[in-house]
Amino acid sequence: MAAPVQSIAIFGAGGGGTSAAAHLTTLGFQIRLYSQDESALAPLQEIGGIEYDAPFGKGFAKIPVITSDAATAMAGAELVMIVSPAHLHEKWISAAAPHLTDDQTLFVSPGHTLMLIPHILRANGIKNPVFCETATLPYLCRRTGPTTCRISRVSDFMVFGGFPGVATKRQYDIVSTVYPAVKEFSNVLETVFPYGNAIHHPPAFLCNAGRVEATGGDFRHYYDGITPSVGRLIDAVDRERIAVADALNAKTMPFVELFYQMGYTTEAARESGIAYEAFHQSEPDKWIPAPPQLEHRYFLEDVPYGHIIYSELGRLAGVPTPTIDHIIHLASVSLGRDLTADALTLEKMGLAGVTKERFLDLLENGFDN
Amino acid sequence: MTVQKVTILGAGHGGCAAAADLTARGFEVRLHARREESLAPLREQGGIQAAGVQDGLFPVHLLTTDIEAAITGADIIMLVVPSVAHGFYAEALAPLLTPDIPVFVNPGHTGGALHFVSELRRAGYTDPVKTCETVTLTYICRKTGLASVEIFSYTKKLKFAAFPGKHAQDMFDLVKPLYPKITLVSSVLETALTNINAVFHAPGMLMNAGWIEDTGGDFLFYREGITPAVGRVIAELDAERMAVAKALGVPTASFLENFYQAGLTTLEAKDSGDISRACVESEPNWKIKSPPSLDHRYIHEDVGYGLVPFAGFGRLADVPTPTIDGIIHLTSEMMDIPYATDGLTLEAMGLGDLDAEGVLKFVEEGA
Repeated sequence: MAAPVQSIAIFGAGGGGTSAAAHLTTLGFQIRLYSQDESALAPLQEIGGIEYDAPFGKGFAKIPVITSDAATAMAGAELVMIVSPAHLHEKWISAAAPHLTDDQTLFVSPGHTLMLIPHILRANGIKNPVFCETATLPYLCRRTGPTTCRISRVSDFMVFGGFPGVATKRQYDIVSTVYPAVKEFSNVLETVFPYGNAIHHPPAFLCNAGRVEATGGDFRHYYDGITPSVGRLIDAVDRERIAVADALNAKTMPFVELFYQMGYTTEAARESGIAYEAFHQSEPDKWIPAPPQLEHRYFLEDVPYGHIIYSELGRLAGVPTPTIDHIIHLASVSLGRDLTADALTLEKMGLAGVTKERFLDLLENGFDN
Repeated sequence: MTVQKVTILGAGHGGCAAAADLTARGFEVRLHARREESLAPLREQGGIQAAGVQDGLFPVHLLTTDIEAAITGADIIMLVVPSVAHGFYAEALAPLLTPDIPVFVNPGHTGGALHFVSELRRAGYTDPVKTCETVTLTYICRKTGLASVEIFSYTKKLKFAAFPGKHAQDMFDLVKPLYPKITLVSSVLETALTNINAVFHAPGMLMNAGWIEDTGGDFLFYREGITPAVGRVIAELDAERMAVAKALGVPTASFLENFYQAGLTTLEAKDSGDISRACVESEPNWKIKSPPSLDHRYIHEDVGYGLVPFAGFGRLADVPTPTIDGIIHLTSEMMDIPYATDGLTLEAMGLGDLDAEGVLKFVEEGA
């Protein structure tokens, strides 16, 4: 039986990391905040914590350890929580790996990089890596200034999976004491499919590319930008994603249902089953402005770490994904560079040429057999 | 033979402009429309009121909804309708047409003449037929009222080809007096692959779909909508189009070159190689607003009757067209219309069973 979680190392001092630090401090956990970005840490070190504005109140969260030294951050922590964009997973996990002990739980939120993390851990000498993740960040939040963060929403539904699948339950029992909102799924294949941003950001961004560039993003991304025909394209992406998940025997739900479960849209939209209604009736997303330019994570993260992994898994499962593939291509052309170059491919996870059977076996049983 | 009696099928912008212009220049014009409502205002006024290249009220020799009356005694039939209507007119003409009356598809866009003849054959017409086409309409014009039209100019250096190609010189000599600015090109494959509307309208619509639907098209399509990213997609699409043309041995020029030659942008913009800039600096297009919805010929015609045949020619030539295919697929999902099968396929152009060499022979011989 693992020791109850009291001390948590948080990797990442952006919006997600600082929000987690603030929230979990208010819940009574001891937070040890780590980043490699000294300029992000310095203002927090100066005041010894973070000021927050959140649904659970406004205040100052005192953070006992704020450091750019990974060993210091992780010393004595029961839980090591990585809170970063997917393209930084490699960097953060490589920093954490040398100091990770067997009694620590490695929790990546959001994860949805499939076998990338085990691959990096193995490259760092951990032969039988174990970790867990959520499909989405626990917060709708932003770092609003050098010493402030704003949390507009704390998630009450997060898809949770572990690697290997046989270790999911044990890790779930630990993480759910920190985040009761996590819902247990079988493995990290089931956390990759509900990564909502990957479903809708690339098609919506492509269909609003002209407006983003012409106006510098002077419109509401979801409410104005996701019109009926854009919604139909999102629905087409979602049908392909579900077909891939089905072929790999992964549990997943339609995007609109997921969006509803996460509390982002109405019962009426849920019943319509279409993405346009889901976004048009989304109160939390209504006022979110469009990004000011196309060089933005809606393409830069959600294509290489979202659409491309669905396409890769489709190939592995023998399921065609034409809509997803065409969006990948056109997003690349519109940016003037190949988004597949640094993408999360099976090759990048050390799984080039893997068969479907071997892949599913690895996910469930890990590298120990 | 010289043309004196011209039948114009279609009384939209182009049909009315042609009827007024050719009447003004002494031709005997018979103007046909499918619906009497289109013709009634013209009858009431006693002709078409034109401004621009021609100025005045021009009484058209015959206004009719009867296609047989319209073509009887004609020296040439000019089909001035959107690509999507070519099939309808082919079917209507099949029992009436005789081999001595050539058909001028104005404009043919991509594959207009091939499609028209294929539909004519399908409708049971077995005699020889001579057709020809221009890539775009012979006029820059716009209807300004129910019975009035503004003709800004004749289209310059307009590419013209005949099908079957063996009649090219005859057809050119026939049409040249009507439209002195046409230039004869190698074949209908060259006019087909010169269709610039398909090259830039479809990416412009796809990448501004949200803006169009959210605001009812409340922005300037070319000046604001063709941004650098949209320009990059157009450039990639254009490179695929040119690769297809090259593989088929069809002479071709870049979008920028064609756009500049058509008088639609500045030399500086052309030389910059930047399609976004060329569109932003297109003075004739400056004030042109976006379509109010996606349910518009910029998609229906320019995807279905532009990109779909481009992709078909690409398969024929064994040249990959991922950007063209992508736009076809995504607009199909968005419109819920399967353009790849509903649009102008190789089959619909009568080229379904042929290889590349067979197609080249077919466009020359007509069989």
